Amino acid sequence: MTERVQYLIAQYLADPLRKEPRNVGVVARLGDRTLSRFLGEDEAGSFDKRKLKPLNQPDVFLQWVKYWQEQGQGVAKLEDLIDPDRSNYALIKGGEVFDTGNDPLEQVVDYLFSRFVGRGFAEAVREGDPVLVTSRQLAHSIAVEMLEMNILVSDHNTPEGILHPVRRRQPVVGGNSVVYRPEFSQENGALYLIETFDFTHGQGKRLHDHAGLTAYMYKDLRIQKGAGMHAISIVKSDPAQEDNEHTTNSKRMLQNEGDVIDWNDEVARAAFLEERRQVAVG
Amino acid sequence: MPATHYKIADWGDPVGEGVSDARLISVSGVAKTSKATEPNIVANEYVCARLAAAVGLPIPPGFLVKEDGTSWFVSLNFNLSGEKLPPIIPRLLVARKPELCAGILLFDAWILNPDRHAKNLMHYEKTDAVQVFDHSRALMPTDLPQQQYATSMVNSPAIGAHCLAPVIADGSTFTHWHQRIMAVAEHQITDALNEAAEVGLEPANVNFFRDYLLDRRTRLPNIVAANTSVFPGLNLGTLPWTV
Repeated sequence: MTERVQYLIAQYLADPLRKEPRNVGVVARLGDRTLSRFLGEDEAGSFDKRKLKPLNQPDVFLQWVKYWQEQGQGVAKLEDLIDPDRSNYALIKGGEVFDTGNDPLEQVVDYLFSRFVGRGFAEAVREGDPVLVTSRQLAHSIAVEMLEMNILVSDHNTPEGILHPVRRRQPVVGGNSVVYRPEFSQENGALYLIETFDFTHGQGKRLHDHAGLTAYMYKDLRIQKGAGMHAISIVKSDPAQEDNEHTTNSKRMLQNEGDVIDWNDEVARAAFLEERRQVAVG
Repeated sequence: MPATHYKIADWGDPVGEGVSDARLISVSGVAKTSKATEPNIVANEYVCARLAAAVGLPIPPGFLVKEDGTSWFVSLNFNLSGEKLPPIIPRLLVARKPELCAGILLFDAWILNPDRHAKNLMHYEKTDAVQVFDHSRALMPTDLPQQQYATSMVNSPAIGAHCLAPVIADGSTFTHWHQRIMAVAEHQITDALNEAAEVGLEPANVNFFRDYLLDRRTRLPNIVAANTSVFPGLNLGTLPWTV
């Protein structure tokens, strides 16, 4: 079951009177586990002070980080970390991430950090980013493209003039009332199911399991929906590396049940998006 | 205790007299005044700042100013970083400065301070400087009848939910701090209270609190030894006092 991740954003006000905050970190909680990442912090938790130059007093910032990390382990609710007495540093309410899939909290925090503290969404999903680019983030990057094409339902709003929009995590009922939530789906009489697989950063065993479950979903829904069901798997591999056994088998399982789009293949990628557009406009 | 430097607001011209090249400068401070619901803020701050300095705790120098006829207590701004520091982490401060923390606890027990939370201590890790501040609610807290409250606390540590109490482990230096508290001259206590009478302390309370503080400091060992449950992490073997 997918759990939601709550998060706060750490902000820095160089001059509290000017009220021009800069985001400097994120603190997130999944269940009873709290994790954070701050400006200048690497994955091992060490700080590169060269990256703290935007701050007037890096030592003060590091003391706040230590304080928030300490407090984060002891509070009952994440919101308890918010201090109404704002000064140069403060935690503010961020929001919740609902569709984390099975991504570990570390990856969600990395994503949130890139989203809010880095250079925004583009960096969060950028290829080659040292931050892990997971299948979830691949899905986000595809979602961004579809949003720009104005064919993706966003915040429950169907884009104007679109008859058959793409939807995210729309429930689809299979055999024995099993409910699936494919990453993307689109329906115009025919049903298009779209799942994403990013093999560029290891996790081959996990993705292999995901591919197996997805192939089962495709097969089950084909039985329920018949020939009008189209399975599309978007796969991203590292072109500089040969596929390992997990990756090869995963792709074969998916090919057995539908089309596989290589996201590194610009022609295939463009064709996939164009097909989505044509289905969307009817 | 390291010497503390304070924040300069304005660096002015030479005084022009003498041989020491003295300068006129302005320094930065934080001012607070009393209010209807807490009529003793200025008096409490003034008296406790004088006593803390006499004991040798690292408290910013304080003084009185008058604005539109209202007295304000001013603490010199010790935050040289220019940016507000986070509240202390009690566990870490006690680990870093166990002796000072013992002194803060004993002093707060002396002055009936129920308001020593983590925001009323500052530790700047870069300089390792600690500052003790905010005694607005010590001695004569809120709008309770002051003498009645003090009398009711005569055998109690009266330190409320003190941030250091749960984490103090070593009580061996309580003796050292008790000696310092006992060494505060009677005239220092009397003078502080008499002067506070000019900023709101009821005259009837001057003599009462002089006697109260003089008596209470002699009984601090008993008060601590009889209330060790207030210090759940304290290694009782380190406590120099018994009931």
